[in-house]
Amino acid sequence: MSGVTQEDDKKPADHINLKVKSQDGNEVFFRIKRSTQLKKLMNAYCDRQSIDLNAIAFLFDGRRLRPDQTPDELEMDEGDEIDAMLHQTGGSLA
Amino acid sequence: MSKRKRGVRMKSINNPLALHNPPESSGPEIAKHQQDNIHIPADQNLKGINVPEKMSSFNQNCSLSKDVRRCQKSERGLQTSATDQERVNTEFPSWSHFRTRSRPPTQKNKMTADTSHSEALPQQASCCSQLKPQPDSRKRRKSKITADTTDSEVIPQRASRSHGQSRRNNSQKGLGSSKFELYLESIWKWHPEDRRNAFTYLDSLWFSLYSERSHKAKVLNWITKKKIFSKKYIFVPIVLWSHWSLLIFCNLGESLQSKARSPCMLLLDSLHMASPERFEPGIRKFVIDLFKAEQRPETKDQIMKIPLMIPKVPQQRNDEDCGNFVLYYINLFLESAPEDFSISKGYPYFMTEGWFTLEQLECFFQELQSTAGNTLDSNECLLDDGDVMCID
Repeated sequence: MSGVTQEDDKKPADHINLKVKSQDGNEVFFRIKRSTQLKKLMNAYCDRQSIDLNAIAFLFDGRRLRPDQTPDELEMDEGDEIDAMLHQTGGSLA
Repeated sequence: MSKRKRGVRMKSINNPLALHNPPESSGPEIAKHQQDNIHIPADQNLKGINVPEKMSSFNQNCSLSKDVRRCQKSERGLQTSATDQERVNTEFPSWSHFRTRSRPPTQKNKMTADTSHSEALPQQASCCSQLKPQPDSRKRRKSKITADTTDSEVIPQRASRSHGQSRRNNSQKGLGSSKFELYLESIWKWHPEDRRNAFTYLDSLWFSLYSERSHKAKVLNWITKKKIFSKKYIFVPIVLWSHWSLLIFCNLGESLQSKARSPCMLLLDSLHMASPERFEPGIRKFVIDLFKAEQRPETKDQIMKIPLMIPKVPQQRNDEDCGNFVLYYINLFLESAPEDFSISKGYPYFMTEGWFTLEQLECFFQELQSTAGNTLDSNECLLDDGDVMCID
């Protein structure tokens, strides 16, 4: 196994495609480097949708994504889905 | 507070009574069914429960008094002032709050796409004015309209995407589910691991997501991964209708016949005047779905008999503290819940109206803010490089 072929094989896997699905079911696809912090994806998504980053909870398999996590860390796979759900606020009776 | 709002307040405050007097209209069968559910735990075990009659008089008192502050409701109260029965007969309308608010522009877009479906617009209007959340019919209508507009250019993907996502939480009073989660994580770490092993909690967004039909299955799937039936206590923070409350499952995995550790549910709510009973139908459905998702042998009837108790706990005095109360309930429960707890022996000694004082709550929250606060600043970041690319 030469170093070159290994690198060639590895290259496509450096990036993965992730799907961000909004609460009402709309999907936006992103291609992201596995080692990139997900805050970039979150920002890109919110920017694109013109929504406030703080208004959205990003869930991967139901768990909240932290901005500093990376796809590598979360062992995300190609085509994985991230839910972009709206945060809720509670005070008293609404 | 405007007259209109006050009118709404009065209306909804009287609603809890509807729970005890089934409405003539809307699904009498379901109403009866739910009526039964509500009385099951009460019949079984009256000790310490907030007897419905008492709640009713409590609410009446509230509506008679002019204490606007205590009963204060935000604009979003419009949504919740649908009668309880209406609420439980539909899916929970939590999301329709903002949908209704942010819909008009999108709705307009769609309507220009096919104006022949003009009945859709009045329906939308009635949805707001008659205070009847109808998420189902709305969903159906939506797809209908979409189907009719064969010229796809009129429904730009980008226009529909932000349905309801433009709402900002910042301007609202109270605690958001983002901070709540961070605070809860902090609280969790305050307690020794061997102690908290008997406990677990569900993400505060899950229950409200579960209440939406389209996310129900997904949420149940997430929950099954948490193996909640192996835990003695499960906290389920509920943020619904802009109000935080706390559901605690006790001994859910134990036999329903168990005497020493019989399963039960506690609903801790810092706003009893708003009738926490309104959550019962949703909670009952939730529990039945949980048992089903875990493929437990218990029958629906058996599950329905798990007592749901609403203990008297310290109450909020304003219109924004419910989230803090829930966090403090969790903290104190983590601290002092007994190893073995059976509802047949009554509530744990600590769960009373005088469980804690407002000053203690204030101290607790300040401490919480100082420990969790520094993680709260949102990370600004520049979208400069090609590490992330949006694919159309």
